[in-house]
Amino acid sequence: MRTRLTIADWILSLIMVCLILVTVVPLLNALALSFSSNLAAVEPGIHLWPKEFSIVGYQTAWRKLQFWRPFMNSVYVTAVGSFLHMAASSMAAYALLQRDFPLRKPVIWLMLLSMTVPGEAIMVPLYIVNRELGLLNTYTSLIIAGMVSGFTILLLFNYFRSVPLSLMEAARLDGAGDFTIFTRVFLPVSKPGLAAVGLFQVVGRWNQFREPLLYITNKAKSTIQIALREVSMLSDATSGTDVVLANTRMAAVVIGVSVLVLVFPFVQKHFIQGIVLGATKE
Amino acid sequence: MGKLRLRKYAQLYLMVLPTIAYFLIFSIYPIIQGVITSTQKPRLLGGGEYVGLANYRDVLQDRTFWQALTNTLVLSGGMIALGVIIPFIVAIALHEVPFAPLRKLTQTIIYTPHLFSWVVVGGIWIQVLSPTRGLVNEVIKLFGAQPIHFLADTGWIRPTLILLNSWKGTGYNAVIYYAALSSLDPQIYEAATVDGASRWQKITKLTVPLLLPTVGVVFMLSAVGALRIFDQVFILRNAATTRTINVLMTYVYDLGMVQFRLGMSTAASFLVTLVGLFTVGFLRKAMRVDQTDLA
Repeated sequence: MRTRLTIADWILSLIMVCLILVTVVPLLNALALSFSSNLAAVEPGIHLWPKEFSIVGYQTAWRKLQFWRPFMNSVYVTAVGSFLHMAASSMAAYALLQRDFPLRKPVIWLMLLSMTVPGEAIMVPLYIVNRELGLLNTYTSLIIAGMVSGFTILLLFNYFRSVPLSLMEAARLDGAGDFTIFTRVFLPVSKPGLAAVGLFQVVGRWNQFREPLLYITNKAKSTIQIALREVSMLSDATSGTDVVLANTRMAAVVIGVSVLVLVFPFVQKHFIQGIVLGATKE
Repeated sequence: MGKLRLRKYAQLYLMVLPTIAYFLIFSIYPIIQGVITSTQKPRLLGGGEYVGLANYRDVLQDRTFWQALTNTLVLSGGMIALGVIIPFIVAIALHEVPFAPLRKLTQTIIYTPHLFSWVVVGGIWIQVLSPTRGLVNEVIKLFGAQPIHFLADTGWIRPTLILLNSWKGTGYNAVIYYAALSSLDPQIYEAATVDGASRWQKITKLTVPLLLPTVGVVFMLSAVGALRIFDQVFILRNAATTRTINVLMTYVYDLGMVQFRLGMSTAASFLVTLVGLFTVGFLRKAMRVDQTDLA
């Protein structure tokens, strides 16, 4: 194939490079600082590469500031929360598929109502509910928050719909119960949908901020985003006196995205389908 | 009980139980609880006293509320405008760029900040914008200018927040636009080429009109989020800027969780929700974005 590059093509490519730089330079700056020594981190100048390579920032964040604790807490809450979310929502989606199931209409009704009122609107009432249930300062409060979502149910419902009804009938004639049909027939077919939901959940729950802010006051149970915010705030932008050095703060930021890096490669692939479903089905 | 056919549907009931319990306890009950709280004032001996709509009146008479509303409108207006326009242009540029690997790379990279929490984005930019050793101000100093207190100066904080929002969200919205573009039939473009259309004509006469329906979707998605802005303001506000950027949701948080005026706080959040639902409903009608049908 023969293509001639015009000036327009070069300008377009330049735009792409600018977009990349605008995104990458701040990240590179943070990463470079995180791997700098205490002395290099406080030097003025433009840091895009570690000066005096050192992991002292990570050591300070992990041990002295005890980031290992909120990190582990977040890993636990994210894993359990994502799993329960997928389990509960997919079971509900399966139940909604059964046209003559008596609770089908009420569940749809509840689901639409919950999707109409945004979580932010009931922030304080939700705090009260958690307090009444004795869930303040428990991981359970964070795991339960957003355990079911209408969005996920709809997404999986659409996957489940692609399963031929005859398959379900055949399984039923073979004496399979609903739960067996669900796990043996429907879950395998909707692997891509479940993967998409799982990824969104991991990202969302790792980034969870408002819930721990409201429900968790016990420092031993706080999560990564709360710990990171506290460290970031310790650099006072107005006075310029750094209580915690830049290398430690940026190391904390890197720890704060570390788990996301593991899911990055898969997110883009599943992202478009999620968006298309989300945008048209919301 | 015959109607519910418990025996036949026993397993289905169990499967849907967590969902129903969740929605009842963490969605319906808080709404009811909230409505009740919003009509009560706490009594000294505990419990609440019914005060009708007094809390709502207090909110509407609170100058901080109007300040928060103004800030929300200004900030979200800027965020929506940039969130609709910049990704629109970026998506067209992505569509036009001749090298597929460069396109793919750009798409992946600019999408990445969307996955970061506001705490992470805040943490990075507090450093990058720091007046003492931040990257941006180091560059400004190279040009011999005075460093700018982006996050502490009341004149700079709003544009800074709007631009940070763009930095985080441009890739996300661009991918939505781009998805719409890549689902278009390439034959249309081939036909236009055969007819002798120039590249610019193809962009203005084909790509832009074909993208316009998606502008509605992106606008809706941004508008729905507009009244809910919380994290970025909560994380980036400080004593100097709080009055300039406090939004409705931080107002609700401060009332409820800091001052413990639960009645007034819930009243405020319901006012915001009503305005939000009204706006979204109006926009939906106006733009005919259809609701889901489960049938």
